[in-house]
Amino acid sequence: MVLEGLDFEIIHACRRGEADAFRVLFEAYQDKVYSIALRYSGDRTTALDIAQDVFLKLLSSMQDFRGEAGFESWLYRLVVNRCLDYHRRSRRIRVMVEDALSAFTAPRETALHDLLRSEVEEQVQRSIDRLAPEQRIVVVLRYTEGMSYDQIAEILGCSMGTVASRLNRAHKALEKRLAPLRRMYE
Amino acid sequence: MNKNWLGPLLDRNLRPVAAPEELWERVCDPRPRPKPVLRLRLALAMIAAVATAWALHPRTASFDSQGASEMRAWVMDRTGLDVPLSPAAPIRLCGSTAFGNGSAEIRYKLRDREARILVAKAERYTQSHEFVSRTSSILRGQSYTVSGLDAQTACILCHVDPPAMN
Repeated sequence: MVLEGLDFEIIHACRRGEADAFRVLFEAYQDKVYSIALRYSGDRTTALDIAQDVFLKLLSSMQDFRGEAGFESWLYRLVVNRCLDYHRRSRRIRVMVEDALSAFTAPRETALHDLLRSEVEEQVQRSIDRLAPEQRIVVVLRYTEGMSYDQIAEILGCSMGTVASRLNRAHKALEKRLAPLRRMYE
Repeated sequence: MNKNWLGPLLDRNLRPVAAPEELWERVCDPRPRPKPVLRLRLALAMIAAVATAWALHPRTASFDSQGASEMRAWVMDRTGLDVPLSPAAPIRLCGSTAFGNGSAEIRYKLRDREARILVAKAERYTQSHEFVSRTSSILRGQSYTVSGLDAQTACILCHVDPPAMN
């Protein structure tokens, strides 16, 4: 369920501190928020952390929402900012730590387990993880949320040309990395 | 811009997913969680511990040398065993191996016959040679077991004049 347009009643009820209204808002957007966080971070725990932070931020800053922009755009901006913020703080060291740990740990998953967890999806996610943050968020908004260029531009606060350019660079990188999967989708 | 195959691949594999039930619980009752920096510190500490354990883990190492004092120092450094190899002994040293359990093997030749002597910590201390068998003896808290020659002959590794066998 997603709120149609700007549902002022729900928003105002949230501002008045009505818990039921916030629950309605949460139910409407939890999958979207979590999906963006998960596809961006590639990690379930991190995605839960990001989604939790977004809804807490939403709750605390509901008073700041003036309604000039759509509620969804405002919420998406919170998600995107939290993703990028999380990324900036931890990614570089996290990747380094994960690489180092992998050198000491034996492979944990069997071939069968790999198959069950969808090797293709894993491979795509790994390729997404390697994209620069500004390219990755564009890819996630485009393919996870199915947004148009102008919607993405509005959320990121940049021009459509910038969105197109970032997406183009991301596509080129992904084409190279995912080339072995090409036959399955041609 | 977008290749025909890439769009469907990304559409399919980046599709939205349902949020887990626990998300609502976490929003209602935000639990304190370690900050990313703390998590990274914990992870780095774990790596350091694993790396230290790896570095300290006893492993087999070999050393090729013909110098008695050089080999004595190497064995001492690796195993803590002091094997007072004599530079004047009428043997030719070939090399040594330090084992993870704290023992060492010294390879040498005596009149073109190859021999090996295994040195380890002994359970008891004796001031002079105590021959346990024809191939083993104990001296000053270290046991010496030789292969290829008899134990008495091995004594010339350290002594030019070997002691008489009991």
